[in-house]
Amino acid sequence: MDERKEPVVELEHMRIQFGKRTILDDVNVTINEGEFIAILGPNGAGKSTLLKLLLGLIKPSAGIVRVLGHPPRRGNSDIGYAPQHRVLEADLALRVRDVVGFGLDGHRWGTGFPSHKRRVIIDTILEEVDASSFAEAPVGQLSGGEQQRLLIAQALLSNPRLLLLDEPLANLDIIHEQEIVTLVQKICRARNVAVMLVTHDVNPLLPVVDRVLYLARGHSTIGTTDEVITSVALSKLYGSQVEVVQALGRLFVVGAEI
Amino acid sequence: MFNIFQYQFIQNAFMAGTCVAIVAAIMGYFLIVRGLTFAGHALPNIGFAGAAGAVLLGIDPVIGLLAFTISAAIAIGILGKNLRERDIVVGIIMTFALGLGILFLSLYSGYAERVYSILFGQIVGISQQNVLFTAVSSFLTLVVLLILYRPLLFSSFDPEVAEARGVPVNALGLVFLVLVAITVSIAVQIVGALLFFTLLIGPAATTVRIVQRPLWAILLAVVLGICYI
Repeated sequence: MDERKEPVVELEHMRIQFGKRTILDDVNVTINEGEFIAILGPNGAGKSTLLKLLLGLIKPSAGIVRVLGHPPRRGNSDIGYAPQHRVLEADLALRVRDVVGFGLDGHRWGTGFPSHKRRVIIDTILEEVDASSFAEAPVGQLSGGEQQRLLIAQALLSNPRLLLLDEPLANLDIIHEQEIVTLVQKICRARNVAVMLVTHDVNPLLPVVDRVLYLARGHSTIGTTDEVITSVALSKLYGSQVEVVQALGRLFVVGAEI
Repeated sequence: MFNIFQYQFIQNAFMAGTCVAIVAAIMGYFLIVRGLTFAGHALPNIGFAGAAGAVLLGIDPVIGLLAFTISAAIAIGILGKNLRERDIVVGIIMTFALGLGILFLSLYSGYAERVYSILFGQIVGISQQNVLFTAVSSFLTLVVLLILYRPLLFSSFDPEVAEARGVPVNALGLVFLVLVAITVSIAVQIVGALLFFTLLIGPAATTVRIVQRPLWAILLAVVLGICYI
């Protein structure tokens, strides 16, 4: 604790195996407080699996995993988690306020009573993610961008030091994508919380991420975008010829076989 | 019109019915948000088979009811992890149980009056002892439900995050189904297996269309449930 930069996540020679299938092997990663990390890789590379590992929902087959200096455990309130885009059904009988409230006390026994304090906490968090205007709306009527805001708000309620966001940019248009990226960056800097954001497209994140963690074929590589998203580094990771093309200020990975 | 309340059996019917309606309405809300309405339809029918079996063996039908509904609830909870699987599991268990019920009935040589009373209930044939039993068991179910309230709601709407937050999602689902099974076993003796589904799902299905707040939806469902009775 006396170190100023305490690592939030430490992985050493970590391996995840499901039966005979190795999902990830020999992953070595250290992520520090307040860092903004993008997790990239093809489908099935183990991006979501890595998040589940940190949440304590699955166990590593080998190696060391530490979250804030301890082995991962379920119900760790130091981690905020927003899973891959959930289908919030159109006729779901819940308001935004109720869903966000789950993040505060949904895990406690009993019915809980509405209180002024609880209301203020939820209002504050909704304001932080710019969701106050639709606090009373039924969640089924929200747009994709609005749903993401509310899921992020829910994940933030326990004041986590690590925020795991699984594909928050999926199914969003460019404008809403940009809004969410700006919001996550603001949260990351203001709260000094480490963010691990799973995405398929690094481009909207290029100006804001500190480092990227690229997973492919069970292997991983971590570094700044300039270090990782290059033809040389990705060809090595994929084990086949991969070309990183730059056009219109955006990066495209070409020739990668999944 | 209120003269009918001077009859003891009418009073008993109203009291027992009200207890059942309250618990059923709350259960119904959770059944709907968990996508378990089909199980709510199946469990009373499965209970009927259990009662038939108990009559055949010459034991109290309640024991058969409880045994069948609780084991079916556990089977549904364990086998039906996701929604699509669950409906198949429920369907198979229900048809199997109904088949057993018919078999039991045909094996039983006497007139199975007690079995038919499970199918249609005996709302006007309730003794004061029945009322007391219903009230106490409804109250206990209600208490357990209130203790489970928040995590159950959380895991119903958002199982992934709930699990990550340390809510025992699977165990909760199982406990909830067993509670439904117990409620069903108590209720079908009064309102009958065929009608109980309406009392279970009807009020909550109406209220989730009208209000968005879970608490209000549940309270409104309770009011509607009592009106139905």
